[in-house]
Amino acid sequence: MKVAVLMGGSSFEREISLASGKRVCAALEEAGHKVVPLDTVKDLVPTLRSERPQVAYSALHGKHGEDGTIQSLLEFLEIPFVGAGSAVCRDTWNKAALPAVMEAYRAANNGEISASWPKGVCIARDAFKDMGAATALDLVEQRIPGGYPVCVKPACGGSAMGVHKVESQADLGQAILDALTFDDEAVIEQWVDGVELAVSILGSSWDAHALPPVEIVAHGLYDTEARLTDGAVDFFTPVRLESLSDKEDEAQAIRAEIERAALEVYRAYGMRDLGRVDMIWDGAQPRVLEINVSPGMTDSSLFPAACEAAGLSLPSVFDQLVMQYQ
Amino acid sequence: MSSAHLKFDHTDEMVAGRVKKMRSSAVRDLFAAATRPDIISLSGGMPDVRLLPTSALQKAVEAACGSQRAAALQYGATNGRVETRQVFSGLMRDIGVRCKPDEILITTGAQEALDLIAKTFIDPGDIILTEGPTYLGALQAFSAYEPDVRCIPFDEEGMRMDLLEEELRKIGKGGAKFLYTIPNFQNPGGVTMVPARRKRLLELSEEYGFLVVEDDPYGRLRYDGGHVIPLKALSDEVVYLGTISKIFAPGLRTGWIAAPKSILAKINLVKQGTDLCGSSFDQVVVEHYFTDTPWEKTLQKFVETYAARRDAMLAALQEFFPPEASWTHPEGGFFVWVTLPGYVDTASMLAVALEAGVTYTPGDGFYPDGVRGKNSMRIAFCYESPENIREAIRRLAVVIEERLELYRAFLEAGAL
Repeated sequence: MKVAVLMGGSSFEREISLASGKRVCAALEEAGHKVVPLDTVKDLVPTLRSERPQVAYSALHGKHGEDGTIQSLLEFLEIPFVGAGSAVCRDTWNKAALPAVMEAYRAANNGEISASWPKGVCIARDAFKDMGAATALDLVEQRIPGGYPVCVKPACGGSAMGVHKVESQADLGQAILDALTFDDEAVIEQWVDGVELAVSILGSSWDAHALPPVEIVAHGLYDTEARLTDGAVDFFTPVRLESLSDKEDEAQAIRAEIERAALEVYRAYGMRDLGRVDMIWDGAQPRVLEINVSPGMTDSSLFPAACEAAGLSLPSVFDQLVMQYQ
Repeated sequence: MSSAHLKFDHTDEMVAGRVKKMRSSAVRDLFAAATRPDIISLSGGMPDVRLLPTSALQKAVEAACGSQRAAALQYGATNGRVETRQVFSGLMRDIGVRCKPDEILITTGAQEALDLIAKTFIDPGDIILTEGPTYLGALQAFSAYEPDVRCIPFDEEGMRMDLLEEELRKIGKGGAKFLYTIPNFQNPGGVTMVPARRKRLLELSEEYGFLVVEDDPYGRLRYDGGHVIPLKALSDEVVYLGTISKIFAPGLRTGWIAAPKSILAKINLVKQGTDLCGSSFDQVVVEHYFTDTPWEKTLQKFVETYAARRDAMLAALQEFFPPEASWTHPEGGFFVWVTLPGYVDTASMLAVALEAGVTYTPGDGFYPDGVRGKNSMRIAFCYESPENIREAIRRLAVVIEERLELYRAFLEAGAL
């Protein structure tokens, strides 16, 4: 098939996107497809119209790549593409929407789901700037179950930019201001300690299946700097059972629960083809942080590591992903 | 082929690890390179070579093309032409440093000197000390050799010696290889190290056993106050870096290292492998510029022009910038360092500033970790006219004001 691979863009994550795109191109070429690598610049649309690819894959990360922009453009051009549609992307892009999406899913499943998520609030920049919201920050301790520490993060955006662990009210204002550097809304939610996990998923709806969870061990916070620094983070694929429980049976059951929770989130949003759910096992339950519609595909990314652990080669994975659009 | 098409660079995988680490400023470079005609740039540190008199240039170049052409177009000695070294020895004598021509090695700009020094002295993981923030070109040159860079903050009187001493106590004797400083009108800070601190720095260097590398590109561009004796004049052991880039022309890539002979011998060896020798042609031109033309008169024109631009910038900062901002008051050089409240991220603000028609250099690039300095920026007054500088500062103030509105809401609520 003739496949357009979109990458680059103008977001902070451009370089990572180019590395992801390059790897996807190599995988597709190895699987025998004709690949057209494209940067998302001003003449992208004329190029897409003249190239007439049979299917597109977006390896764009961050703004314009994961917020529905590129997806709605491809829908308008009637170019089939791998991955979540624009409406789904708009939902996943805003982390503050996760509780509502998951509550609806829980209600549809008679309250019986494995996934849980940190409780929090989302406050807009204008509420601080024009309505005096900053005078109510003393309420955070009561409103967020468990009080401090809390997590402060921009509602939208990736790579943990603007994410803070706040230990007390004294540091809250500064953290919110920093989060608002990256987005117009700041989320203040429960801080969750535990085993950091990323669960990659392949497939759609009820055929979706989870790949082996990756355990992320950061030496310090798993923040933007840690994500961009070689050696600052260790990955274990699949998650080490001893990280979940001393008893192997129990650990296996927990791993199954983690995978179940990830699939619930994936289905709740109506994802298709592929994605990655980030969560923390807090010792009692899987606490979902966010879902990614365009997982990183670089040499050090979590999704390819999960494929490898599942015994799947990247060329075969991408071959299947594009062939369904033939 | 349309520009949306991408061609992968297959040498990416071959690149050495140290080079991969050198790419983080790509976004900054993108903004720095923005050339929309309505944009006023306060980002570059370019000397205004438009001020150079044509006749003087012609005279200097004619010598290289005429009577001196045989030497000018030939390979030269690794340490440079003796005649050029004599000129630099004279330039140093003017500022109070006694240095013989054989204690000088000519480099391709002071930038090469930084690379040669790093190549000669730094093993991966070695500790070196710098002002924090410091010249980003020095950080780039050093980073290729993977040192552990420790930054010592400065105030209006230069590097803080109390904090240096604190750091040295932690590192211990013999723990740091060298300390890199720009004592005059520092880049990016614009501050000058006062004489008492210079003296203290040299005492500490002796006590803790580290080399002092004195980078002095701006020393002769003083607009107020009196000359401060260079570190090199106080100690022969200092490695001094000079350049003609700011007092003549950076296009003639010519700088020099003045150092004890034992150190020069090591650097000479390293330079042989780097480029054999610098440009003989450039050296001949430089030689004749500083011997056959009224260069001191031209320098005076540079000083007067830059002084007026600095005054315009400081006046505009006072007029337009919000009270939450603070900035340095350079007595010379090219730069003012502006510090905004901690919440303002100048790297992300640059996109907005660009839209408003002004550029600057975000502060994080002047630290090795790229994290500190996030709420600071370097603004250069060397190239634009006083009118343009005023307009640029006015535009920048509007951008900052928008950011500060939110900050003030938190401040008024007592949430900061």
